[in-house]
Amino acid sequence: MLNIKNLSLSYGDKHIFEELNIEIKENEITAIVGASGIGKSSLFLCINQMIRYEKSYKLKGEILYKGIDLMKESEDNLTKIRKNIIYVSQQPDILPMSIYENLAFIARIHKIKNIDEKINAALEKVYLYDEIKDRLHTDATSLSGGQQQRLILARALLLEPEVLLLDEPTASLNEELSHKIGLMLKEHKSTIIIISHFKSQVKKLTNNVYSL
Amino acid sequence: MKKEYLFYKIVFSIFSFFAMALVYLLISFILYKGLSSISVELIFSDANIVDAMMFKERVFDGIFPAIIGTLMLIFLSLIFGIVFGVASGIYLSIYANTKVKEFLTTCFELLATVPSIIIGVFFLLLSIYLHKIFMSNFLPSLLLSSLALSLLILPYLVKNTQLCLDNIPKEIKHLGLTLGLNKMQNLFYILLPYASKELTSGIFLALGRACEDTAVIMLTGAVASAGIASSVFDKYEALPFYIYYISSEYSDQAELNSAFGAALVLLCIAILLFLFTSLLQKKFRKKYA
Amino acid sequence: MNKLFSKLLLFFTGFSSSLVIFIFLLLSYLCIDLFNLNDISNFLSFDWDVEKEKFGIATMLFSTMAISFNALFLAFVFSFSICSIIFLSKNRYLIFFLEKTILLMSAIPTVIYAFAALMTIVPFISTYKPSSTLSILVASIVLSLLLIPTMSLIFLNIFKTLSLKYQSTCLNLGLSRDDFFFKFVLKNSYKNMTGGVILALSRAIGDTMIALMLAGNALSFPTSIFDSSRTLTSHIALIFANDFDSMAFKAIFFCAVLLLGSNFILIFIIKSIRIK
Repeated sequence: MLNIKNLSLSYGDKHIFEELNIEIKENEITAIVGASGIGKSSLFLCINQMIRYEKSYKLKGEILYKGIDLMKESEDNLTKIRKNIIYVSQQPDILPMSIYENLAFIARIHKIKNIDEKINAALEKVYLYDEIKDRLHTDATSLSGGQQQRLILARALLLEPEVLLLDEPTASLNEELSHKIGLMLKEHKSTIIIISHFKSQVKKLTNNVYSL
Repeated sequence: MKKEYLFYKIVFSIFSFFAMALVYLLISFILYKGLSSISVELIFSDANIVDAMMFKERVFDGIFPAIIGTLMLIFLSLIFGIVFGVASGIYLSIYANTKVKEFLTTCFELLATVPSIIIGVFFLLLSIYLHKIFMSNFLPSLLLSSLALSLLILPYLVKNTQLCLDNIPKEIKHLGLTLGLNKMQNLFYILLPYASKELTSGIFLALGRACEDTAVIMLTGAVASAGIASSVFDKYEALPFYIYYISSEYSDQAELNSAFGAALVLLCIAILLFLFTSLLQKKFRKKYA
Repeated sequence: MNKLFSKLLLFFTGFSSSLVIFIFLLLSYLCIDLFNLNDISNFLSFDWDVEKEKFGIATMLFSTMAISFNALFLAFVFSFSICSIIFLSKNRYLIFFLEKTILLMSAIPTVIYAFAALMTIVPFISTYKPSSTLSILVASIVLSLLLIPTMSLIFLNIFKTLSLKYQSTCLNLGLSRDDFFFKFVLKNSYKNMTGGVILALSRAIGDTMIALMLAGNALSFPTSIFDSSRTLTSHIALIFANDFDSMAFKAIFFCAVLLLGSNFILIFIIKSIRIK
């Protein structure tokens, strides 16, 4: 599904990682662990090629997605590919709109049908629906940190991507919710890559673990 | 390439092109006409250049008095502007408490929108009343114009000074205080030197406004032919007023040519001030990067 | 010493900031006996004729509005287009050129715009429409050039702030930069853009030189944009330059108070938008 070959990244003179080789299998969860600041999030930026908007970076190697080298794709093609490789960031990057609009805005642009049903389903999946069903049309910035994090996870699920890039998806959730979301992801039928600080956390989810 | 927005993009391009074409048409027209008509004679008339430069010989027909008038105007309004504008900016940034600050900032915002003609009217009235009561030589003059102009550029100076001082990083802002300096010493030894480039660039930007304004000076003492003012209480000539005057009253091509020359000189002064500002800004952008 | 210094600063600040209030009060005071002396309808009529003692400034009010709004509309179209191109273009040189031109435009003296237009645009228009020389149209076009930097710098600032905050989020979700601009940035910036437009309007109302040199200063009521017309600001300039008749003077102060008042109202509107 996704093949990373000999990938090296550096910002200016600073080397982030070198000669990285990772193979990601279809419909399985892959975890990437390592200390903070080691370049886990940067790896995600490389995969969805958002790194192109950073300054003074150097990237070498290949990132093969279904046999296409993403590093050589044009920006227009990448836009279509990014719809299938959704990145869920560590900081909840919600947009300044209502909760409903946060989900529907993107869905409408991607011309997804039955938006309302799918939004409800996505919110159910991240155990958020019951908490916010009465205030779907209020400002999303009023949600708590944990709720925001689940909201952007729901936004990603709504788009039904082929690959999900999750950057510490349960960092600001309590243990019970973390567990529930973990189970949900395990049952979810798509390729998922998870970043985490700790090996022990991801051991429950998968056996494919790479350390950076 | 998505076709979805192509229509909008084409429309945007057409309008942008039209606006740019119009601006550069006007500028290049002035440059072309100005360059082809400017000459030593146009500036100094038949006076000896060296003598004129040393102010030994008076120049009557050329645009030299207007150039000198504009420069004197810029210089004087700079002095008044710095005294009042920078002082107010410092007060607002460092000394004022929130409530006072809010009120005073509103006042300066209002002042920024006062049309320049009204500032001219105000100073003209002021001179009429003060002249009647006690100050017999407070008539429309270089002094009155530069006071009026400094009021015109005051809001920009205040805002710029305030912004510069507010943008100083916290560590540096409190550096002097932690070393035992009092507020005033902190200001003069640390804050002002730290922000000096930004302050200067703001002052030059304000000067650009001072050198171009016509409405204020036409009410407060600029006249079509007065030669070089011998004191600040005299009437004077200035480039923008000269251009306006010629454009409404010209009788032959020679007069028009001198207006083109004046326009070229004014444009050059404005662009020089602008270049100087952006050069300074480039330098301090490096400092923060 | 330290205390004295801060007192001195307070004095300077208080003095310079109170001047604006003083200006407003003085001008209001000077036109105040106009309200009990003569019927106000004289001042709000359409005729200005000093010999017949008619001091109506409604015509000037109308042409100020006409020129300002025409210029505002043109400037909005221009600024919006330029800023969109700056945002959407991938050509670095084009972006650099447009950005620098906007900054340069803010430095060019208005009298130069007016003078150049007088020698180029005015003859150009009168070759196609010989009856029209100095007109509302010319003044509006040139005034719009004056407003472009004011508006564009504000628009660019809004666009940049939004894209800095939200661009990576939206692109992560598979939106193209075009989608991001047309569906997100525009939707979320119109409120702040209103502030820029109103600020430009206050500049348009307050401008003197372009209207004075290009609008023709006729006293009759304009019926089309090809007609010559006189704005409040140029009216003030012309009357002060010519006659000192006392009633005419009062009407002038009335003009000044109108100008000042409308600009103050615009500023308070901008402030209330900002707070929301």
